[in-house]
Amino acid sequence: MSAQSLNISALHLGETEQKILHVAVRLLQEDEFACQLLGDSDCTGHIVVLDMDSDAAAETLQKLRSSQIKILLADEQRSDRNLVSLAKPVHVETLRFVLGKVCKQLMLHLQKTYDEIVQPAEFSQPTEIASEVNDAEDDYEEEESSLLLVMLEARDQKKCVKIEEEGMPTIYIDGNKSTIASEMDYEHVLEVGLHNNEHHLHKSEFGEKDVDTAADDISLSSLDNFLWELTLKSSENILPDDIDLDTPIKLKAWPNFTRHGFHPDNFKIAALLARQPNSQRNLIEATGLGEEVISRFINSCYAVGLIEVQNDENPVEVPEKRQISEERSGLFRRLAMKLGIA
Amino acid sequence: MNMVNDKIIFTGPVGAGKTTAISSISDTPPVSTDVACSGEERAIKDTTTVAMDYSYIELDNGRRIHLYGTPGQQRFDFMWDVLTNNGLGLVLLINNNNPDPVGQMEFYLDAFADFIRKTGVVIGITQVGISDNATLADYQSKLMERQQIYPLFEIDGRSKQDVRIMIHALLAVLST
Ligand SMILES: Nc1nc2c(ncn2[C@@H]2O[C@H](COP(=O)(O)OP(=O)(O)OP(=O)(O)O)[C@@H](O)[C@H]2O)c(=O)[nH]1
Ligand SMILES: [Mg+2]
Repeated sequence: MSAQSLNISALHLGETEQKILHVAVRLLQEDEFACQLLGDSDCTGHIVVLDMDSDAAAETLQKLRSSQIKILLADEQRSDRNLVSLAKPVHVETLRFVLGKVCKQLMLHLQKTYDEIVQPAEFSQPTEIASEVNDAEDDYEEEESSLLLVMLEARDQKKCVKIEEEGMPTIYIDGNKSTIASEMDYEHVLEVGLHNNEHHLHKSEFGEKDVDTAADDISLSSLDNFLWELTLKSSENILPDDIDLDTPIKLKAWPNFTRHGFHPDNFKIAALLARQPNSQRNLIEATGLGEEVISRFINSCYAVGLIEVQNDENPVEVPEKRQISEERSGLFRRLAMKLGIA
Repeated sequence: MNMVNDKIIFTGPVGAGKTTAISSISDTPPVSTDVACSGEERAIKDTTTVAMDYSYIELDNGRRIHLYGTPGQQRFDFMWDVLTNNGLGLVLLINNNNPDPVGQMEFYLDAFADFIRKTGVVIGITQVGISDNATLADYQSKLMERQQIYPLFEIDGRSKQDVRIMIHALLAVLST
């Protein structure tokens, strides 16, 4: 084993979590992290991913060495030395982010102590890596938090979060029911989301019951519809690092364009993506639209869970290219004009 | 150039809003073959289209886009092939207020599969606010399951703007 190679144990994981972990590790390997998954029930990894929902998990946790970094998948949040807990259902991106942070910290640590160590159990110094990771995550939130990111996090982690600012009616986000509520009307909440930098928003979690009580006399709307519109109007980029201009992306379904969100350009992009996976760069070329228009659309689709990275392992069939005559496209243009939508 | 080829077909079950949608965007009131309903359809609505709806949109160069509505009742399904022959594309309307509307969507997508493959389709769900038989997400998941990324909208067949938006999406699909 070289100093840079990190072993990851997967213990008591269900089939889905196992797959998610596999993908997260593979993505890390593609990013040149030297890490590998150990075989079934091998608990000697530098990092141990443990599903706490299984009965035997608590006992296993007791037996692990204090120097091993534990990533617990659990509904209940716990904190301890060298321990990170992630709410279920855990997403590939979350697991990859956390594993990436842990690997980075561990590698630095391992490099320092490589000469003295033979096994991870014999770290010369007790490590506090997991708490560093937690700190790093907190910093990240402090710096980057925006209404959009808070909403995405609430939705993905099924949390109830309220956003407050002095003098502003509270915004309630219910990640379980996928709704937002506020005494402010929809347009005002949208304005807050579009001008984060003019606000000092404070977020905190609260019980689901409060949202029901609060929602009695305030307006409710669908979180997805709101996210769709906010991302379409905002220039904030929420795409994960592995989606760049050249990444082929796939549309999972035609987005629910509400009457609010309708814009002819977006139909063009959606139609192209519906036909076959495409990179943003190709879309810019094919539509003649600006990078920002394409990017906002892709961000919106990503926000409502409709974008998937097209990887080579399961290629989708590329449909035959449709031949459209000059005459046909002229006809379509005229019809669009007549209907007042060109 | 065969002018009669420039046609858009509206299809869907009884009471989906085909006649209504065609009237809301056409230049002339549709030539309808609506008659008083009899039998089971009477429970759904007063009149039904027995042969087809026909109307048109005249473009600035005088050329016409013909709009055809298929009769909703399935005993007229022999008309479907004739009507779609050489058509530009399909508008499928589904009334959310019918029992099993998602199943109806599947039925029509299968029945018109060949035509859709050659051209394109847009799906409009009407009367969504009236019943909660299905939500837009239910239609969307069914389409995802079938791996069909078709434009899907919640519309009011009586709204010109809604029907225009649908036609626009259809044109976007047909142009790519
Ligand atoms: N509430 C509501 N009513 C609608 C909507 N679209 C159409 N309608 C009404 O529904 C009824 C049926 O619409 P039609 O246009 O006759 O339906 P059709 O698809 O032509 O029906 P068939 O000819 O029998 O196949 C009419 O009374 C319309 O006014 C809608 O989106 N919402
Ligand atoms: Mg009719």
